Amino acid sequence: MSTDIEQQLRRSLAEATTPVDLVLDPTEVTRLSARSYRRRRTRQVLVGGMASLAVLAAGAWAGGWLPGDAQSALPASPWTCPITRSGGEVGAGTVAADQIDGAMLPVQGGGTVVAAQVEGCGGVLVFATSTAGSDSLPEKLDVQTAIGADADSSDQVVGIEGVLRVGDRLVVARMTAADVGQLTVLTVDGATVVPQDAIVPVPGTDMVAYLVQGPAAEGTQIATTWRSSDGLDHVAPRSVTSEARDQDAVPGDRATESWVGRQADGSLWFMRRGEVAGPVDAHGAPVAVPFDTSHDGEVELLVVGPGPGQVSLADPEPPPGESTGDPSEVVRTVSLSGESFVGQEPVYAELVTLTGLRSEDPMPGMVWTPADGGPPQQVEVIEP
Amino acid sequence: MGAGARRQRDAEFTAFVEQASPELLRFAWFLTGEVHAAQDLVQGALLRTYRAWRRIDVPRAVAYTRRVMVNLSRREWRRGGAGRVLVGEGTGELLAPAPDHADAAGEQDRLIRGLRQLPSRQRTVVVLRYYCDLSEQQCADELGISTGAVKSAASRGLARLREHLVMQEVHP
Repeated sequence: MSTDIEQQLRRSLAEATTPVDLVLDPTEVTRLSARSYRRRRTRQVLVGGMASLAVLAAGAWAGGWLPGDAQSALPASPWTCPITRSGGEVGAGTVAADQIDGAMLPVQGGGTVVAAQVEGCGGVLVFATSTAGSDSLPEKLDVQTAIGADADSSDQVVGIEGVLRVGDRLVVARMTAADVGQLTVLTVDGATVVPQDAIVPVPGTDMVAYLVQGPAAEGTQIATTWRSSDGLDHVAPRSVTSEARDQDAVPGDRATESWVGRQADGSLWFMRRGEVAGPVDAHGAPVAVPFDTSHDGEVELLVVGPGPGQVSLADPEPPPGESTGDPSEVVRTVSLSGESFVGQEPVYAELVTLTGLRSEDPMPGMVWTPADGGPPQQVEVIEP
Repeated sequence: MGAGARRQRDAEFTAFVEQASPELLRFAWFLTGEVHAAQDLVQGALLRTYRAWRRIDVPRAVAYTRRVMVNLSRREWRRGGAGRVLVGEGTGELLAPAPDHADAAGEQDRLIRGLRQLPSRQRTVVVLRYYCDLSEQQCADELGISTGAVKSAASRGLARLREHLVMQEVHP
């Protein structure tokens, strides 16, 4: 079967019809490249006229690591920048360990990542790596990512990031705004909580750095959640296909008390006031995840339906003549605002608050009633 | 560099672009799923290749450019989230044929559409392995990851594609 699909895939990729407009004019490509090259060279000469500037830039862009924004942050006085090129075509070079004062981030199983702002390099931020431990750093560290200090600095958590190799391990290193706590990284394989003591300040900056390690570094990252010092919970989606948030969340802001995200395979993630659950495979059926509140007998549920609709208790009224029915009741149902990427199905989610629950009772049944008048569907409650 | 040397370099580079761009564009198209995004990706990578032209062995220029493209597309992914790379069904960019025509073409269509649904790394590994025909070790070298991660991504990618095919057969 595996061989079959491999062969099918090879054949399909080889035979796929190329769009007629998928072409480039080679002469035009060369003209644009030459013009860009000349401008770049001119700028370099104007800035310093020193070869070491070109070395840093060449190493970084050869690896595809240096975004255009960062080029303007390259050293104004390159002769004072301690980063030197290591010789390979791909790689930002090396930096002397005693010339950077950075945050030491130990790698599981050995090795260290140093997150630092490099003096003399115009505020360039680097992730430098060593396969030795932090107690015995070598004289030179490999600089794996160099980026301008002002690039994406307003973009908390996902702003400055490098996927690094330390020995035979991959780690994701991030520098973010300092106001980050209770940080959880969601990947296709599960949630990884970053310990608070592993989030360390980067000297000379208003940023902190941390590593995402283990399977979370290898797997596709779905989102990052965190709580800022003002108590607000935030979610930064990374590769969700659609999501839903509190209706009163400010568009574009990541602060939200409730969030549901759907990843590419259809699995769902839930966040309510910083607590995370997932991934949940909904199979296109209505599902709910309960979250405890601080009130006795009260529980909140994030409910996701297969389409537009509304959730309600399956049998909210006790049978006629009986008074021992389920005492729970829905006190509040709030729809979340859905957003989806092009062509993707939105997330239809509701926040439901139930009260009157007795500890010995099971969760009351709920149904999702489609807006198009279809038959109600039982909601499956998934305990995290 | 004198004018003569510049002209020679530009001529060499133009010849390289003429010869390599069809393959690079298809590679970018499989990575991005969009014609314009693919063109942008290749143009951006070629610009960097031009800058490094004197340091590159010409026989390795395609591999070099491809590696830059992978790096650029990963950065786009990290910056832009899913919306940039996981284009939806409605954009109609990746393949012209409808899904319900003749069996062989339909299967090809479904596989290519399934490719678009894969996460970035899985899609990149699958395209490198099964379009560029790289070995696991070569993929690992190009992506800067372990061969184990390549195997894992390829295996997961194929499993998802298989699921996608089954789903498409049940719900075309």
